[in-house]
Amino acid sequence: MVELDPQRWLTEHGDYLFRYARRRLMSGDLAEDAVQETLLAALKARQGFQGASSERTWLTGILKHKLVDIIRQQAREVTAPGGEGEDDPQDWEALFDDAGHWTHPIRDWKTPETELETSRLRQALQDCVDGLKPNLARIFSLRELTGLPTEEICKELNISATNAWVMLHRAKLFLRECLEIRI
Amino acid sequence: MAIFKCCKETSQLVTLLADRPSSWQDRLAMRIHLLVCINCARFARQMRMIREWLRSEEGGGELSGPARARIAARLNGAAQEPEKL
Repeated sequence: MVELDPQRWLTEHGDYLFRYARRRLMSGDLAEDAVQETLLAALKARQGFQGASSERTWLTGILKHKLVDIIRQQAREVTAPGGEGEDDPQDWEALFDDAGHWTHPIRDWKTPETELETSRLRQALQDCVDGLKPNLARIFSLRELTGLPTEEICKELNISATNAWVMLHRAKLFLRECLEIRI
Repeated sequence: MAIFKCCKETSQLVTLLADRPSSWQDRLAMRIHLLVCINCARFARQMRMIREWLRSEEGGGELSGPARARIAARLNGAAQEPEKL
């Protein structure tokens, strides 16, 4: 049996956990906090690790719970009056004409083939996810990147299902628009 | 039910396929639209690509030196005083 050593977790999985968290949170600081909280929680719970899954899978599972906690907490902090940077429905109307057709042709994207294209895509993805308005970023992160069921997200963020669908749809439209000009 | 959906409606069916319950009539209408509309077919493919890319790719960067040191120190402290965890 491998000894469960927190310092070794940090060495072997620290960067992986950080990148996983970074993709799902809006700042590097928050991602660092998430890694710390995850390793502390893992230390506390290490008796419970049965070795049924890999260490990394086990740690990632703990991290997912921490991410949900952090995103939920942030959602509370910014639902203050006025809210920052809510998105404007007007932005989305321009995508379609009165008959509901696309106003601009949709490009045919290519899968990256070279190392350079892959690294440019990775950067573009991160920039576009970071560019989401906070309210859209939270729900997109919980649903698409962390895989929480929609019903749970509605409870966590205290929103209706209809509201959740509208925001998820807009988040995806935003990412597409953003990537369309970057890749 | 309308068997012909516009691009706007189709785009919503595509992005919310895994989230919003939809009738088989709506899904059929979406498929028909995707067969005849090049823009929406590309849109649907882009949505699949975004999903795959985001799932397979991690975010960029790595733990900074100071963050790594801070976390290591916290873990050490916690390991030595398990009752405070």
